[in-house]
Amino acid sequence: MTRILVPLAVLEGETVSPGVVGSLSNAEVVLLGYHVVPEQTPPGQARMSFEERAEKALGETASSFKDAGVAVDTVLVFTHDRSETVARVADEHGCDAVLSNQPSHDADDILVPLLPTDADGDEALVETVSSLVEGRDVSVDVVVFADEADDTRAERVAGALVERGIRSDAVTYGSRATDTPVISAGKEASDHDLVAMRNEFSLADLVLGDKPGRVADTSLTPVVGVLRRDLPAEDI
Amino acid sequence: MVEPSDTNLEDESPVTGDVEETDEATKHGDDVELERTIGLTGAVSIGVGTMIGAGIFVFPGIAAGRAGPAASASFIIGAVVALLVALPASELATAMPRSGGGYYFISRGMGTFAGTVVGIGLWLGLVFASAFYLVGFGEYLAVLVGVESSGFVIGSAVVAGVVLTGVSLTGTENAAKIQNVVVAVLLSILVSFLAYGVINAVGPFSAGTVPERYAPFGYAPVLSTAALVFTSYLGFAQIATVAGEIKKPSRNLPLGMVGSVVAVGVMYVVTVFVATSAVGSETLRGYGETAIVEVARELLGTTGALAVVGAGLLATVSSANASVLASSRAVYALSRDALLPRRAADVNLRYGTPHIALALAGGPVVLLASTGRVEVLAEVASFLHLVMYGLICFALIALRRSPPDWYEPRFRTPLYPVVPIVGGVASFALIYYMQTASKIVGSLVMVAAGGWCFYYADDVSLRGAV
Repeated sequence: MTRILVPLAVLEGETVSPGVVGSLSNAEVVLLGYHVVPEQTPPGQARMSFEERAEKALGETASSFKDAGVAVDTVLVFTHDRSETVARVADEHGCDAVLSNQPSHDADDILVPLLPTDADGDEALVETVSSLVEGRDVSVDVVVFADEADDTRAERVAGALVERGIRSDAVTYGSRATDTPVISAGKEASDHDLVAMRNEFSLADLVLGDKPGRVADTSLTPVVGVLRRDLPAEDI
Repeated sequence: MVEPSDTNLEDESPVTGDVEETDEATKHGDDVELERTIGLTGAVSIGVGTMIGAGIFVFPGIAAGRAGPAASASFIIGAVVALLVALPASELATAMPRSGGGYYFISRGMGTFAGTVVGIGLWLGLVFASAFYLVGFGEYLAVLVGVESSGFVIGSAVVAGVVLTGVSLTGTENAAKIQNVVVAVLLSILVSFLAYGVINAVGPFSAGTVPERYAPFGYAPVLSTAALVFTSYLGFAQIATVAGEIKKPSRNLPLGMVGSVVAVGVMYVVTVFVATSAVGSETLRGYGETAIVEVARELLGTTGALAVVGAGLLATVSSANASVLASSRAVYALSRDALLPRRAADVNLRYGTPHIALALAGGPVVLLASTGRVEVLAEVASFLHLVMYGLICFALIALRRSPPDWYEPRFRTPLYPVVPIVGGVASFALIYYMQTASKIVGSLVMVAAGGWCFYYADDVSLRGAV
């Protein structure tokens, strides 16, 4: 079972669409309702004003998961900084991946883009994808985006997915030559219902934002960004 | 625990409940959390950014005019008192890392009445401080445009107050990052200026210093000047007002509070030394609030003077802004505990800002800035803070003598009970040396706060309630 963090700006009316609920139906969902307040507002003060309204909105989204039979846990956080909150809650709840939310109607096909920045260690990605797809009728496209088209890595990942019990006729693989892998992946993703990719940090992310978020913004398709699962950090 | 019968005039009770503090968040009950997002740099930047506006850019001229070169002793006395309070405040802050700082410690350690008086004193003390910084800002603007009129100074102070309040009402999400950059720029200007000044005064190519006795007016003015310039040390307590938002509070609160007092204390003493060495205290007195600009002109010419004017504008406005925000947090803390109406803490959804609390801070700031009375504004601010500081020390003693079961500070005040006793007595002693007008205004504020407590929140009980 894979555990997915779903962050939602609850007070801005953000919800999840039926396609997202369907795509995550095999997962355990940690639903993070957050509200970002500016520096001059103590988060506790925002809580006094908005807790009730936020809990109600969060409860409604939680029910749409529960109604579909998905195990869901909820957290409500008032914060100055969305990314710090997402990182902390993902860590505390032991999440394998974080959803970059976008609306999607269906849950029939998944794009698995492989980017040059995350060249080794695809096991966590394979594990998450196979866990999401297991027992469902979903097609999986594994595509490498790099400056030279080379199917080797895509073939290896596709093979690993089949080894984990995904029907081989449901898995395809390929590669695209591109100078802008993240943008190309985003374009390719726009006719899929879900994207599952690794969330590997690189310096450009400081300016542009994390890659799953960029793919989600370009494609308007929900993206599951799989986190690197390091060895448990020593708490000092 | 607080009983449900503990309500104010409008039937509101303090907001309490199960709380668990971690290094990164405050967790209420099962699933509501408040993220901690301010690190050590942010904490020090709040402290230093608030303090240097006054100590370097407003007081050196006034202080040297009153006490001569011995004004450096006044700043040292201020630093020692601030440290004696910062240590007990650090212990309390690590035991209670919540918004509201000194108010929170005193209401929990000594009960509702002392808490209300200090809480309202903190709210209005920061209002006085902010008005004082804004008048300082006006003085610098006047130097920049070359106008010598108190009307211009007061007018720009009022306009700046209105703009600051407006900006904080409509929300700027990057305020803290801007504040960090401002503080870094200020520190680099100051350190180069002071280093040059020190070399000029005592180095091998020294142009000589203005010959002068250390304490030309005797030692009594040294104490009254210490009481006046204590406003330069109010910033460390503002770190405690955002204690609920500071990461790793048990480490960052003590480091931030003690560290920022030591850092600014050293800079103040060096500033007075450089200033009195370069132009002499008699001349400094003539220049008043912006004397440091003339020191820079003497040492570095027009360019240096301009750099210091720019730094002065930045420093005073950032101090004023930090104080308005801290004051609004004091209003929130009081409202959360049902000592002010709950709606005073309302946050609007559009900008995400606490408009009522900010207006309750910014409104009176503008009003007070329009008086233009620098010394009284500064002293009333210090008066109200010093009462809080004294009580912080005694609240520590009260909590140590009969600790509630939740009292588990991660930082413990060294040399207990000497430090809190001396710190408490010294805080009240400084008040004694203030001008009569300041003492009267400060006392009136406290009496009004006490009256409000009896009228509005007589039944609320806070002692020991976290």
